[in-house]
Amino acid sequence: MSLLMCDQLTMAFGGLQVLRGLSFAVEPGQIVALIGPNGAGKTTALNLISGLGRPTSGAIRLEGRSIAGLAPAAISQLGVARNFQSLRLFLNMSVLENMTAVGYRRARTNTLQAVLWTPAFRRDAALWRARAEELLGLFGSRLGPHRYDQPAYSLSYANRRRLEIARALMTRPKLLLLDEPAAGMNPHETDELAALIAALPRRFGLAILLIEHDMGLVERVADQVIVLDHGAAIAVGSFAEVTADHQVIAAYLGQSARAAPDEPPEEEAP
Amino acid sequence: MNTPTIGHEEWAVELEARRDWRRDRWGWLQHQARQAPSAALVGLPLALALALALLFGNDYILRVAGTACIYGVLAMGLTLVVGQAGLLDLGYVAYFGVGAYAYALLASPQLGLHTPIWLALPAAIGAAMAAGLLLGVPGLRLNDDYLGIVTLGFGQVIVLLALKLDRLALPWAGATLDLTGGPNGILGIDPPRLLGWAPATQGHWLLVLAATLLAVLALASRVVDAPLGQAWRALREDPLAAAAMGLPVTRLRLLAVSSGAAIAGLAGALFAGWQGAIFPVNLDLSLLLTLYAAILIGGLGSLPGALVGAALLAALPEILRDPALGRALVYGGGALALILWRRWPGAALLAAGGCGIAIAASLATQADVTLAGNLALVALPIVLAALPLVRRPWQRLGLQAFTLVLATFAWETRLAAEPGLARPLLLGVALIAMLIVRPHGLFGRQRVTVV
Ligand SMILES: Nc1ncnc2c1ncn2[C@@H]1O[C@H](COP(=O)(O)OP(=O)(O)OP(=O)(O)O)[C@@H](O)[C@H]1O
Ligand SMILES: [Mg+2]
Repeated sequence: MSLLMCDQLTMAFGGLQVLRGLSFAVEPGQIVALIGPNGAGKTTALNLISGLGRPTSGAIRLEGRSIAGLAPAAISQLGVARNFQSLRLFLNMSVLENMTAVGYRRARTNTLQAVLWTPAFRRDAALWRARAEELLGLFGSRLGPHRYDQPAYSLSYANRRRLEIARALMTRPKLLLLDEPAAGMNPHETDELAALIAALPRRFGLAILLIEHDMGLVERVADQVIVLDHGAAIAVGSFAEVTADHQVIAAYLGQSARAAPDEPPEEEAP
Repeated sequence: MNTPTIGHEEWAVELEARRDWRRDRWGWLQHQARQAPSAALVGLPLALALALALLFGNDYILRVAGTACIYGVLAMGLTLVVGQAGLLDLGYVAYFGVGAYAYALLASPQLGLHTPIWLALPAAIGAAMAAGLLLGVPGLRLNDDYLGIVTLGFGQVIVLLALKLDRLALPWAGATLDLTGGPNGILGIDPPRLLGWAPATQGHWLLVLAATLLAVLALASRVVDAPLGQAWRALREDPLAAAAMGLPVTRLRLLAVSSGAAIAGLAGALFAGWQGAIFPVNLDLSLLLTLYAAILIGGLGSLPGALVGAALLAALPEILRDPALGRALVYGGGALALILWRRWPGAALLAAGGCGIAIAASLATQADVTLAGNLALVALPIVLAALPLVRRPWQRLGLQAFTLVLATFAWETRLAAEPGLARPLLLGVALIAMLIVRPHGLFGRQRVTVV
């Protein structure tokens, strides 16, 4: 069974059709990239999967269970985590607190135990902190111990993106939704991130649905690429396959590309 | 992985550190407040003040200290709801009222009930929590301003109920029941009696109230550090992101409102027992304003800040009651503010002279200066509004000096004699000055909304 199944998703805001019959699947352990021009509806699809909106029609299944229209918190408890393209950290909290705040109700101990400072609570808190440190450690010194107590608003944009990914991992997701994680990063930082993303599925046993405009990153990490244009998938396949597709070239380069359909894709297939 | 990060971030970090230690006059204190656990930070001065009051204080001082304790408990509960969970609860005093009236009904001759404290106190707290939930459930879908409006209305409904429930019609008995005593309130409320001991003197009461304060402080500071507190702050920062990370937003909001209500209910029950009576006027809007002023001055979300703010606001009206002390406070505070406020260096120099002349003038003219004082009072806001418009240095300095003289004159002739008007006015001025100079309060952390 697929981890995630989207079937004929449509979404309309008033009269604006943003998604028109989008179908795709994500298998366990897979990295699937969702690419497409600005306004194609990529973020909207991600919002629907994470519960920030109910599709106008169509089905979303997580491990066979319908999750369309569930509350975001419920979907998160089922094992879906995400970052935000527009960055939504808890700005006035420390880096470490951004991580551990996710622990409420996921931890094994309750508030009474916390107030009484019981040994069980202290063990639990130490575990959560260790997990937070481990996940921040994925980014090496960039989110190193010297940053733990700094407020999130003091981080650079690239570090905010990193912290959002680490925070999402705190929820132990089965499916990680990444919306343009490399936006605002320089080529060197993007390389770093690509190595990290490629390693995540094995290390944490999760699958990734990735939205990204940086084609180098997509080429490096994606097992499968879905090209979205005007709310529908126009191509599905490996990176090499979809970049060779005429429709894709047309969607990205506009009408002029249609005149010369035989031009080879810019990127060399791996 | 070890490439150094780019400039602006390092700068922001350094800026924070500098602000703590050099630029900011409160930086040192704030730093200490951050380092020391809040219980120790507040516990020590509190114990000291308590010992002093008990050793040297008369009943009046003990009473003021007791009021400060009640305000302190209330302010801590409010700062949990507003500062930590970020919910604008303007009905907070209603929970205080529900707790007070519930305790009064259970332990007074009003209904002939004299329930023991171990039953009456939890019942009062429970009633307040129930009121909190009652309001919390429909208010759940509301945000910020709308929540504020709904809760404000609810608070007024409780006051109305207290006023009107002295003639509750019982159709089946064909009679009316006097539940709340209407405007006359409920009298003869039992003091809390535990293990045969009940507070009999103001000193005893202060011990009870201070012990409660410490207990609430300990509990609240643990909750703030617990995962629940972190989740509340996450909710305050970004409810949508909190929900997407799996935090139960609804449940967290209800927990915040009902925790605050429980604390307010506890304070209400103790207040009723302490006064031996409870009246609808105890629940009026001025208490809400006082509490909000306390948590804003102390720093939103900070427990030690709430306590310091509460102590200041309990002491302020008492100081103003005495004309000599009031004068010292107004002129001392005014001069200090002018010196601290770097934009007014010249005016600070002129302040002393201007004030002196004005005092001399108002005291020398034993004649009736009421009319002149009224005129000064009207002119003062106009001059204040004109101040920012004047740009030329000399004109500006002149107008500043004139403002000071006018303010002094108005104070000496009109306001000093009318504490009822002077108190809220001074409080308002202090709050505005605070929000301009130090928007995050004495103990609060600087917050950023858009970066
Ligand atoms: N809540 C909303 N109400 C109305 N229109 C919306 C809403 N959300 C998105 N849209 C519209 O839907 C379209 C697709 O938006 P979406 O954010 O999904 O695009 P995207 O593929 O993520 O683009 P980008 O690459 O720029 O992030 C846009 O035209 C946008 O204006
Ligand atoms: Mg997008």
